[in-house]
Amino acid sequence: MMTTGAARETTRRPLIAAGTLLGIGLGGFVDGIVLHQLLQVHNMLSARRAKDSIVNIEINMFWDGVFHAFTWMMTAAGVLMLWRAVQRNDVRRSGRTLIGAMIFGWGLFNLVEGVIDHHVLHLHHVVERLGVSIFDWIFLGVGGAGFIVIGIVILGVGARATAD
Amino acid sequence: MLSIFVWTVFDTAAVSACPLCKTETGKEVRAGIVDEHFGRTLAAVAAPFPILLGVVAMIHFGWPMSRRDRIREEDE
Repeated sequence: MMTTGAARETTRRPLIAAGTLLGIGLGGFVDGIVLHQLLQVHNMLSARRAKDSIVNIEINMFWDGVFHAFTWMMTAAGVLMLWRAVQRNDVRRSGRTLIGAMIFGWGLFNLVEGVIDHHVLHLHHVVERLGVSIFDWIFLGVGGAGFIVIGIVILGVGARATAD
Repeated sequence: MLSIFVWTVFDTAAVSACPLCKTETGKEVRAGIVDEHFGRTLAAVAAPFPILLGVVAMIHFGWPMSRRDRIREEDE
């Protein structure tokens, strides 16, 4: 796409990729902090190791830490990509694009993590004492597909705003 | 100083249950983490992340086919 005046090619791809990765990382932290630690409705391996003893709670805590380490890496990589993106002259800097990409990334995290961990590998479920329940489907539908759609809509608005 | 820290944190309380604790519970926790399924569990916990990175790579670089088409177009 051409910009006015300078007639130079610009792209949103690096910003969308960075925002998506940040959304994945921060979405993972929301899952870990809210569902694992604050509400304690599940832990990483709670479907395989029931939280009925101090040993199993500690083992779940270890694997929660491994999960958080991965989400930290995603977030750090997202910050690096964002830094590189904003230094490029051909990348359109748009707050709407970044926010849209972050919400898209959050939804993508929920969808992929939900399908793999809750439904395929059965490592844990949203509310562990219920097993696979309506909450797992709400997690996929609202937290996953819903956030992806919202992110894409905001990205579309961002595209129109930067094109104007 | 380090030995005091290690002694204080990992070796004093009989009820300590951390993976590095020198207690019976600590040993059970270690055994539960580093068991015969460790590699498989690590792969399972990590499983979503390569997929997510793949999606991000496709956003950043584009579909492999479309990139090839673009290069071909540029050559022409």
